[in-house]
Amino acid sequence: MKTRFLFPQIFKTIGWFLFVPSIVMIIYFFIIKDYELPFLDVKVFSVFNSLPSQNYQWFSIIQNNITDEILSIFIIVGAMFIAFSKAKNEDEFIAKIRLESLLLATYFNISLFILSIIFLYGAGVLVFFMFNSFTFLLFFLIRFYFMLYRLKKESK
Amino acid sequence: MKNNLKVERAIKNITQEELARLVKVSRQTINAMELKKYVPSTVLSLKIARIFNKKVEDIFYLEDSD
Repeated sequence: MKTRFLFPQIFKTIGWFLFVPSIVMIIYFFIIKDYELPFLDVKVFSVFNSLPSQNYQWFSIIQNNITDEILSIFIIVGAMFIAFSKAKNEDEFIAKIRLESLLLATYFNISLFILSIIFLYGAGVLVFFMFNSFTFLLFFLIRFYFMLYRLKKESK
Repeated sequence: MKNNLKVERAIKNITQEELARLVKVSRQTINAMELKKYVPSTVLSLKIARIFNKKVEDIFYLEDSD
């Protein structure tokens, strides 16, 4: 089927190779060990910076360890590749399931967003907003692949 | 929308898999159509009709609820 806006099939494999190692590393580094790779300590250009050790700064060059930045980008790009690559036998039915899953993921994300507004205060909100960008793709992936799996099982 | 895909398939003696390959969709899609879980696009309906050498109306019909 002719498709628009989807990545070629090979990107799904690339996505898994970016996503899985990055998510393992980010959990290991930041939740278990609180460790950053020393060679990634570099000067970066920052549009806005409010690190606790410094004053508020606009458009400045600052010292920062970019382990978390790189891993976050790998995770989100990886998840995007997994989510939006063509299926092996992409057809109109799969396209429909994909769009439905996207819609549900949007509702899910909006619900979480509203809950966070009501129940989270202070720094927790910021942490949640950071994770919220992942939960959207995550929920989409779970729903989409679950539906494909169920269809496969049903049609046996 | 109802369809008699299953009957047509039986007459022509082809499996879901074979029909799927002929019209370039996945087997799950054919299965979902036979179970009335999916209404195919006009293009797909026309392709299927062509495989069976029939008119689209002979394979797909409207229901009262449509």
